[in-house]
Amino acid sequence: MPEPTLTDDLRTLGRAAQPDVDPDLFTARVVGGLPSAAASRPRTGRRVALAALAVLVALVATPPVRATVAEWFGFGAVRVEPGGPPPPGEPEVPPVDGGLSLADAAALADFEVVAPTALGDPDGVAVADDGNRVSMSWGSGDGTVRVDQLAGTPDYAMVKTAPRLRFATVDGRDVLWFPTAHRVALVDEDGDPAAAFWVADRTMLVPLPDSTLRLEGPLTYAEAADLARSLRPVR
Amino acid sequence: MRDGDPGAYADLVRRHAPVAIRTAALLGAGADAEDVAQEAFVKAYAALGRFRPDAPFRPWLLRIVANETRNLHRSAGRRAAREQRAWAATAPLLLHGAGPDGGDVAAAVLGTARREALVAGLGRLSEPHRQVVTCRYLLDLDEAETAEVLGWPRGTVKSRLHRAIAALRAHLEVDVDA
Repeated sequence: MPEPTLTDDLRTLGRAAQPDVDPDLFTARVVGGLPSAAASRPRTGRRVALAALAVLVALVATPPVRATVAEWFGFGAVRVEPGGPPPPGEPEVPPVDGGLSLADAAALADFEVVAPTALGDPDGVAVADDGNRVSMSWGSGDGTVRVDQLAGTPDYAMVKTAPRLRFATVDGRDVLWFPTAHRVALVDEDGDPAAAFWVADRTMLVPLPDSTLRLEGPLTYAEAADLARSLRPVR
Repeated sequence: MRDGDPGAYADLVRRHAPVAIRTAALLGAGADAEDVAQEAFVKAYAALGRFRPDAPFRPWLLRIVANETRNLHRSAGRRAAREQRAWAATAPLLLHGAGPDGGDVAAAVLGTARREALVAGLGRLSEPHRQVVTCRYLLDLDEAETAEVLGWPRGTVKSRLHRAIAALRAHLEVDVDA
């Protein structure tokens, strides 16, 4: 019996065997591992340099990946572990119940505080961890939108385990977009989780000069990007 | 970029990453496909000075990927053992797909029985026949690219492909009759 579709079937078979790899993440790994990429960047001293650059990222899957993404995307205060397990349960966005004004928060924080002007004044503002974290939120219940801004030093970090994440550019900044619910935990100075994971909703991570901002809520990518574009320093 | 601009190279990497990883996986790298492809991109970058700027990048890169994949099994001893290991890494990927949707895509279009028959048939081909079918059809490269990736003359690709498809067809018919 002739098989007129044999070669077509082989093509279909081959197409379905595409390994599940994020091209952006893979590119970051490759480019960060190139000899001239490493050589062209000044190798400054450890902690001081990191604080001065104010941005640190560690992708912890393997040590080379850790170096790579830090150099390539320059995110601070957040460690991403791609390929983690899917989160258990539904995400919950806790509203911030602090009663500070934005100006108070700006005075207490160790970095320049910014807020998305597109949302107006937040319903709650709080400063935590010796001025290393500023949180604010809008709305309540399922509609809560929350912003956390973390000092970009390596001593204070948050770890996120995300099965799928995307790199994007918003307003000239390289941002990370988590399009699904994912696990988040704070980590201590050694990089070990300091507390249990919680499940976060869709999040955009925005690197700022001396801090890292996470914008979380039931948002589409376009909505999150609009909010990120409206970020302005609090005076 | 020939002077080694990592930023410009990143665009090339992003564009060719999926086919490079798939090539490594289907030529036998299995779970190591991503590492093999990464190694190939790093080697390609180091060798950019030897690359003719008017030549297509893809087959040149994929030839490095194919060589790196072969190196992966070098420690497996005799050639037959190496070939067996490579196929053992590839067959499950073809049978079950990869990623969240891969297997479903193949199943939706081909059906489980057809897929299993094709994989069984491929498993009974000689290694050169399997390689040429992999490059030309599973990876959908054209004949010239297949020749470059496998390092064979064009005429060899043509004749082996012809015999490989005939052999595969024969295996499939026997299975249908049985």
